Amino acid sequence: MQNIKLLLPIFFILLVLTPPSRAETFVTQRIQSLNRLIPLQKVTVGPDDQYHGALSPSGKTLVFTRKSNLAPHLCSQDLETGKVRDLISPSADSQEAVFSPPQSTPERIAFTYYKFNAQGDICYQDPHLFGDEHIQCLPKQEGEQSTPFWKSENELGYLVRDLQTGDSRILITHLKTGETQTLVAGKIWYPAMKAGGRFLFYNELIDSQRVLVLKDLKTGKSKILHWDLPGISGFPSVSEDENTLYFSHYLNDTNQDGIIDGNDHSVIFRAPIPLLLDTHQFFPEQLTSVENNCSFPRVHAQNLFVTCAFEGSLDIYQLPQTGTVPIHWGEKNLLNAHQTARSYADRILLLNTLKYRLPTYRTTQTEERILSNHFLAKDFTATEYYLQKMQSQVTDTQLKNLYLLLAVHNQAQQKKNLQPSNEITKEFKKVITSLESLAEKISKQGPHSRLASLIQGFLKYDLNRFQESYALLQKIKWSTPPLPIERILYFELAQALLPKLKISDKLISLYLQMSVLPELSEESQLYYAFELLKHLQDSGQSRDERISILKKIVTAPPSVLTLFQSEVATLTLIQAQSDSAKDEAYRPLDQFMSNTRGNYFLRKALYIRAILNFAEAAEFRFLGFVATNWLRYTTREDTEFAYGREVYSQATLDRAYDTLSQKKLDLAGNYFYGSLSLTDDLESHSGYVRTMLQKNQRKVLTERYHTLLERKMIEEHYQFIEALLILLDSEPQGANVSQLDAAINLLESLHTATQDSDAATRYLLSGYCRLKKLLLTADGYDVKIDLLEKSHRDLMLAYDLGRDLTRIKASALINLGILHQRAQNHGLALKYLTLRKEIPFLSVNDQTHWIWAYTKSLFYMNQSEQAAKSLQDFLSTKATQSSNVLPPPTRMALADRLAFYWLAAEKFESALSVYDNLLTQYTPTTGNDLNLAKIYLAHGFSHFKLKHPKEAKNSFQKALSYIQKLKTLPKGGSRLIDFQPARLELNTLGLLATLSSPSDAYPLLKRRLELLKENPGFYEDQDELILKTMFQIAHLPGLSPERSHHILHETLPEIEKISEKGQSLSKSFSQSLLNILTYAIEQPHFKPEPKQLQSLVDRYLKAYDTLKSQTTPLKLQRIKLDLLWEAYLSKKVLNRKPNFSAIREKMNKDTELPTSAIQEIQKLMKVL
Amino acid sequence: MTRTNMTHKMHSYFLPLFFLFSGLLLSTTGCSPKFYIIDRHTLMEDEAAGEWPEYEKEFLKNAPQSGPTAFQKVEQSAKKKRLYNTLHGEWASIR
Repeated sequence: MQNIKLLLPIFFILLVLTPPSRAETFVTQRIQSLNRLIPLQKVTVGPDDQYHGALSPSGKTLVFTRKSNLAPHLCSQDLETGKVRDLISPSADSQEAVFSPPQSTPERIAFTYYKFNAQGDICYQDPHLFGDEHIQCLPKQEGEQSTPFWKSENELGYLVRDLQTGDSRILITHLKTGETQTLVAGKIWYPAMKAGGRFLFYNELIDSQRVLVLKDLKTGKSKILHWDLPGISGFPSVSEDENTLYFSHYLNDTNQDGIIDGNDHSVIFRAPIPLLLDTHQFFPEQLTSVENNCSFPRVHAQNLFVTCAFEGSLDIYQLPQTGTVPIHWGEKNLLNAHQTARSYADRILLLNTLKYRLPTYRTTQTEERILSNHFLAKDFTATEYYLQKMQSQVTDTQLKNLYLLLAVHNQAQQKKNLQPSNEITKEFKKVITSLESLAEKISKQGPHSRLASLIQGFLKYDLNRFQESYALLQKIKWSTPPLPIERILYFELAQALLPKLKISDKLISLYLQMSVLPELSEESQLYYAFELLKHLQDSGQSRDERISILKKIVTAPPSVLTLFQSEVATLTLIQAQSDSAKDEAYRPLDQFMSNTRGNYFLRKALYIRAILNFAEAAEFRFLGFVATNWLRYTTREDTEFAYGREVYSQATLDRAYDTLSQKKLDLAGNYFYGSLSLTDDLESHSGYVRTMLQKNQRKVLTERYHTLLERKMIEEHYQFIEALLILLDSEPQGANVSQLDAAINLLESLHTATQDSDAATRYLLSGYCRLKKLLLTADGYDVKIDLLEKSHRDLMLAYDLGRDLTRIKASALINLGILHQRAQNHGLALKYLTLRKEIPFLSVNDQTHWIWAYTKSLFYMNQSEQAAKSLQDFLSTKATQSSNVLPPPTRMALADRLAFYWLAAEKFESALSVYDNLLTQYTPTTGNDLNLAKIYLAHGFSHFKLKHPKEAKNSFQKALSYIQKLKTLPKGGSRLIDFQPARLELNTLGLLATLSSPSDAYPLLKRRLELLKENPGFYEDQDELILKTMFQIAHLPGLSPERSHHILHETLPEIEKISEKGQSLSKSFSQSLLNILTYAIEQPHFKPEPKQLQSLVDRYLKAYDTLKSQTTPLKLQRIKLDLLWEAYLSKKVLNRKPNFSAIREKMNKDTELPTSAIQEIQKLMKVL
Repeated sequence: MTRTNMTHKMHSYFLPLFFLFSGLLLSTTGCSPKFYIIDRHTLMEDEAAGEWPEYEKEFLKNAPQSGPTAFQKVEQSAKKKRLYNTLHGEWASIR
């Protein structure tokens, strides 16, 4: 986070206040001085949602809520190192952190905690101390507690909601005295204030309206804050000087569920508090675009921290407290940015900024322009607000009716949008019918019959009455001068109707008609002309057909005609067969670009069309020419320049990658160099360095970079190149830890490259270095947690920032998968590797790496069958079937994994088939004893499970023969634990013994017993395993009584060992004791020492008597022991008849014993 | 900080298939024994999956990516699409 922290001041200095003051390259100076909206900087990193950030007074720590698996808990992030740790244990929910005011002693953080109370407690702790023992909570209040805030250093405010009435109170509790007072009560939520300040802000529901309220704590007076904006406000936050209120505002029902609420896209606004006190309605300053969807503002020093959801998950971002529109932008810049805006949302942001900063723009005309953007963006709620406002501002009835008609249309569209399908519900029909009547009534009152007909056409369409709608459309007459809005509505209705009536071919003339209308602005005419060209391209017309259609158009406004002619030139060039013919065909296009440089909308449309056509036809050379012209004909001060630069950079990179894939290394190198010398972007540097090294031009590369450094074309980014060269120079062995450390240090000290693709490329490399270091330093299960966290953070940043950059995203995802797989986070590994699957692979080799990791994660996530199927599919694709694609050892490794996954999925027939095939491929040179031992064991096991005893036995014997040759292998590489051949042998011996005759089984079990005794601590239940094997041997039919008794005698000290470990009630101890007593009763020549048996029985009884309650199985076990012990004593020691009456009586008294248990005991009594 | 001294006990998946007991493995390294979770998947791999050190080596060397994946052509991203977006003109007045 050091970079992020450092960046904003840099941004401020460079972009806002003064010219660059630090040594910079020409290229970076150029980039930093780009006139553009300031991009938001990501602070937290996914994959979980992270929100509601609070900055420590020092500005060094960010505390936020992280929601993992729907459970929120507070985390703390060091903004210098980026290191994140749990502030509060995730074992209980915690959220809504807020720091005590600066200079508080001690510093505290308050939050809502759910550990002790499902309705939440307001708690606090020193943020530097981690652990629940440091948490203190306020006395419990009746109701649900939330949203703490500091009223002063020693006073905590919070909300308490009555669960029955839904009403809430804002309470203040003094931490020292415990005194609590109510500040406000009502349907209120989300209070906020500056600690020690005068004003309290909160949301309140008044007359079904959600409003923001200011309460002056000095005078006790409250004031509803009325904004001159559509929508509702929430989440207030106050600046440290108490001069500015920041808040979230929901301008529109963006999720189109019929209501504006916290689920809609939010925008950050701010307003000066002193002005709010005296103003009835205030127009606040918009700070972010609706596209960024930001909320929960928290201001700290010069920065604003907000939670935004535009990159897949909720995360905390940083921006200047003045917002994304540079504060130094005046009218010229704002108008320029408005002209070059790429979305209606950005246009609205810029118009609102013009209106806020310049009094001359506080006009109805500006509001009409804002309205038109909301209308075009289909922001129904905002459109309704502005239509109502316009209507209230005019006195003329005709004008009022105009706005009213449009409001009818807007309302109908909104209702239509809420319908889940094309089905017409009764309720919807009723609404539309009433709107139809209203439209008809209004049309009778004024001169808007054409507009009314159009709106009625829409209403018919909404009811699926397409023919009636079309009939109305055809009756429209344009005899009187039309309003632009009428033309737009006509187009929209026709565009929707024509496909429904299966007359889509009329769309071409519709677009054409719109592009020549004199009542529309040139920008709109070009918009429709552009849409026509797009429609022709998308509708599957061939290039020749498109040329033919366009050539027939001879009458149109000059700019529209030029656009069509340039499209013809572009398509003609693509159709040309030879390079010379293409070069020839490029001339007219070049001429069009030169001639139109003064007409922004035309040249933009022309460039985009040419680029889209060239991209589709993979004509990267000409695409590059167009991109160059785009940049050449745009001045640096123009806000379009940033877009032009991006287009050029992407076009050149596309071309570089295209030539690289064709192995034209010279050309690829040139393109990468061309791109980096213009943009100094790290992806271009990365491509250039790699290409030069592929060309074996290391020396030339060094010289080139020296020249670039001397000419100040590159400066700080050279650290990235140095880091990259450390890694690439160390090939083919790969970098060692110290080289990786050196690269990491260089990348960490790179303070620029924190934006866009630069940052993504840089974080990808630093994440890679840390991943490699983690892989090199991992030891079995041990991985360095610090490296894991930092690598994850870097790679997630690369992934998030490169979300739109497929090449970076693909690399970040495979790295994240490998990282988490090595750290045994298989769920996360599978998540990233599954995402990687959605992107194509560069080569079969690439895909093989992925399938290796992906299937392994599936196996670890208990999806073995899926792993086997995926791997089988991969191995049966044409690409991998080709004999020379996968080297034989790789193919064998994959086949081995495939068989293994089938085995794990218990699909033994499939496993067997692959193992059979695999075994035919082993030769003395390719085979190794370890793999053959494992394969024969698994092969035999598959036969065993499929009830093929002969084949199974054969394989187990082969497995044993290979196992004899194996030695212990220490953990290392992918081997997480030491490999112990004895474990394989134990398994094989056990299985083989079950398939062997008693005489054959005896040596196998004996060897098994030896192995178990030779390897103490091998298994957790080793003693039990030893006993079980001993009893198995003793019980073998045909074994001489002497041998059997010898073994049985040897079990006694083993049984005792279990008891000495405090496991006298374990199943292994009790079962062994029962076994040995049975043998002692049944076998006349087995005569253990009675004292030895007595000692074992006593151990059991002592342990049993300590139990407070006994389960049924334990009781049953105890009765069995009593019976056997009585029988043994009577028959073998006292020579009398056993007397079970006491036991029987005890059993009868126990009403909890089930009948089945009683019957079992009675049966045993009879036998004894 | 390393992930050590874990005391959870896990049972092998593969061993029960052989009707044996299973359990915790004690590391033989170091002066005092460290306890590790040996999950059943790791045990099963250890007992039944082959070892392919050459491929593993190649995988660990070449699978992690230090730079962008050099695709010849990529799908147009949302960012790029936005770059190529054209807008309808505003109306200065609706009247």
